[in-house]
Amino acid sequence: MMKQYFVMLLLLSITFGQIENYTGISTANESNPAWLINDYTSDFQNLGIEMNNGKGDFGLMYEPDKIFDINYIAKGEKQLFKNGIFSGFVAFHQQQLGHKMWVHNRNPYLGFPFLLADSSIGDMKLNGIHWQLGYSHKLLDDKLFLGSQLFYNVDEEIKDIFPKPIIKHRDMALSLGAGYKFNQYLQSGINYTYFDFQEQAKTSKYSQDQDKTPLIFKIRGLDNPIIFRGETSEERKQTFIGHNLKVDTKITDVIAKEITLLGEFETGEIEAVDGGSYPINQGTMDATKLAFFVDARFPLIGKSEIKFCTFGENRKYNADHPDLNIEVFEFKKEQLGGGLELIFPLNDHITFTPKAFGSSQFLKREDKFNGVLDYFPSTSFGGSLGIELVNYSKINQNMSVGYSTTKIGDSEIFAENTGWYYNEITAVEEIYYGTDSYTYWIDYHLNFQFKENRFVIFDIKYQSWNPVDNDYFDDYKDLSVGLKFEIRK
Amino acid sequence: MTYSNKIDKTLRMVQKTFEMVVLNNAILKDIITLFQKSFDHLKGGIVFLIFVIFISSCTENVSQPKSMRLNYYVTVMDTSGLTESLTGDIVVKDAQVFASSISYQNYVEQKSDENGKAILENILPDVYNFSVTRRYSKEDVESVTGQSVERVLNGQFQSVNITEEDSIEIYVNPVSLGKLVFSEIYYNGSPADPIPYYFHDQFTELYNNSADTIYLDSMLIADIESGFAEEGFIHAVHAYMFPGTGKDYPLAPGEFKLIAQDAVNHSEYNHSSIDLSWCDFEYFVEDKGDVNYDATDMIQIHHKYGNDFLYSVMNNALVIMKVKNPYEWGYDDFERILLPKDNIFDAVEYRDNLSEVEYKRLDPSLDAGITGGFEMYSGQSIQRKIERYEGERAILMDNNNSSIDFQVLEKPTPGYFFDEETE
Repeated sequence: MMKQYFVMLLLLSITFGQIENYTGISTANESNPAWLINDYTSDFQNLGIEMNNGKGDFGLMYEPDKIFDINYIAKGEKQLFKNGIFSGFVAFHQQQLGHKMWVHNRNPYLGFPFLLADSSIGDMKLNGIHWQLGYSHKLLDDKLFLGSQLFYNVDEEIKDIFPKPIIKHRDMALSLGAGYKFNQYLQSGINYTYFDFQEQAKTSKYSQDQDKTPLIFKIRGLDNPIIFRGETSEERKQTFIGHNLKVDTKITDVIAKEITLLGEFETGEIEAVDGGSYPINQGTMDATKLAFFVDARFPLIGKSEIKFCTFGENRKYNADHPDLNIEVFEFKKEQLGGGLELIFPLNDHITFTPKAFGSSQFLKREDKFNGVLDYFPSTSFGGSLGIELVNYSKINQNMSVGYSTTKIGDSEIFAENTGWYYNEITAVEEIYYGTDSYTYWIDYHLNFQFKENRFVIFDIKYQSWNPVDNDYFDDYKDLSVGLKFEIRK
Repeated sequence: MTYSNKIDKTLRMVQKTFEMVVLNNAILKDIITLFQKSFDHLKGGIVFLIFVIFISSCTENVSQPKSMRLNYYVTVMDTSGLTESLTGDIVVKDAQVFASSISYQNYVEQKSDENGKAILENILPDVYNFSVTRRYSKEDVESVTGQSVERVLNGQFQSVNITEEDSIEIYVNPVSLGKLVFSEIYYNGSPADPIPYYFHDQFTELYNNSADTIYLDSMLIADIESGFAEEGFIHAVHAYMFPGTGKDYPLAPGEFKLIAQDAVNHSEYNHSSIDLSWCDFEYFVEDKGDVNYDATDMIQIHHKYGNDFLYSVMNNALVIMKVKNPYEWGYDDFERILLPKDNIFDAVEYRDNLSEVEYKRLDPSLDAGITGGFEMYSGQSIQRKIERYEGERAILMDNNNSSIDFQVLEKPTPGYFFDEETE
């Protein structure tokens, strides 16, 4: 059930054109590990490859023009005891970023204003490995469910142009979950996650033999970065440590056929320090996030059903200046939306699932040091049509096409006494945030049983983001392909 | 009993207690039943609620943000007596106040008002360096002293930590102005085209800024090591002297002389470089295998290291001076020759990073500012600005403050002035 929530949020995060996941690793599971055994059907091992290729200029200034991701994944679930299952995956991750500008940080648009950058634009290569281990156990006659999950990622990213920054990540998240089935109508769960994400960036030491003297920028908000000429190497360590609490409830056959309720609260602190052996504070930020998701499924005529969902999210980040020790930056993002889905089984093999969804959201960035504020409210509406074909010669297929559009409302930009950085970077970001856009996608999923307990799973998705009435950007296109072999017992 | 059995037993106890208190409680059961019945009737309401949230919009009222920019007040004062004799007060009006922010590399320039006060408006909190210059015309000075000479007052204040609206006083002192000035220094080197790190095309251009002929014979050009700004001597790594016995190398009013590192057509080697084959002088370092071209050789007085008199492509300061015996004051512990500051006619300091005032090599009496501010090997040059014309003759700006006196050129202009209008 949690998966629906994340799929919906992921779908709607396209409004802002950025990845909401802090690590940028989409394969990680963030749902309550306690319910793993509840969703368990059989042991399986799964070997596969997932590729993602994105290209285009419709994005923010520090987003690369090209992204090529490849993940080699081994995944599985196994019943260890009568009431316990083990799940896990390990993935070798390779990434190539084309034409990435300046900033060393993995995700510069999460709201943290203190970034490290140099004046180079070039390609980056990443190699990493991440894994996730989970264990879930049921007790008390299948009423109490307990689970834990550990996510760990290490990777290294290298830019191929001087000063050749090397960025290393070490990400860790430990989840402890519990769930309880009160009766046939009600079950609830709680999931606590402690996360610790570390990012370390180092640039090559400057020497006179090199042809260039790059500038090092210590970005502090929307204007006026601190500038250093490349006479020395730079080193930055950024940590994001926080706590996340999710509560989930499922109500069955009361009011609706099924109601899912999810609530989430997160708090964390990001801190950046420079200097290696003698760390110098470069800024801190407090981050809070509140989110909810409600999904209600009602029966219609025959086997057909209708699903309503609504969700909301509020993120607020407040950053303090490293020297002046006062709040200098506020980042706020809110989203409220919902959708409905009709499930029309035509017969035992074919089901149509038309969906309509919409959301309202805003993004606000306020740089209290430089006196710059931008605010972009927007509304998004979209729809999709899915077809599910099951049990056709041991082949199950899903396919869907979708379209959504985002219209920017009455945006506000306050910028006086702006300098070169605002004009070069922030102003272009504001053009992006202020641009109406539409996106369309098509995806296809195939699950083919080629032998007893042997499956081939194939996924492909193509998506295109396009600006409306804008000469500044062209588009951004993304193709994802996945191929897996699965053995079930 | 095993450990897991103990846990299981405990959990079962907790469960039974919970079921007894909550789930099997008759009143609670009635309440749950009531809710279930009510909810059945409220189906439509729930759907409506979801729909309302669905169409609700996220908005926030925003207003003009307050920045942390602030105003800062600088009062310029002259205790030398010159301003007081001219105006009757020690505060200096019409002084140019130049403030540079160390972190953000922003520059602000303001003139002081009647009360000697300059207001720097809307500056960001940061550490700032200040330099101040006030120039009095011949007429002004003549009215008081009877001497028809220009006088310049310079002052500076470094590393002022500005976090709130406040004020400072900066004191200025008279400086001596040279008639012989550096009009252009091309130290930067050419971009790779095709040869990288091409610095052999460096040159120095001298200009007679006076109405009288100047003789270059026995004058010295030297570079300066940092760390000795407050001393009475400069510590020079290199020092080269013009040849001649007194009147062999005249420089007429408004004329240039060029000293090349190597007087050759460099564009033959590096296509984006320049032709210096016609230069008047060149540095020639015989014992280091330097090629001797046709130009007159400068005489080596001191050459601590390097194959030629290479100006740093990033940071340096150059002086032109005259001494009877350059060896008279000896050397420091690191074999740098010592030369007296009092004999300097003109001095210019340049850096690629203009905010690094803490490394300044020259005191404000010689150069209160820094010029440059560009990357090495970008082919850019620094040239003294033209202040005015006296007939055909250009009078170059000389406030002993290269932040004000110099401009950055995209390309070097050996032997001529860059004139934006002509360009």
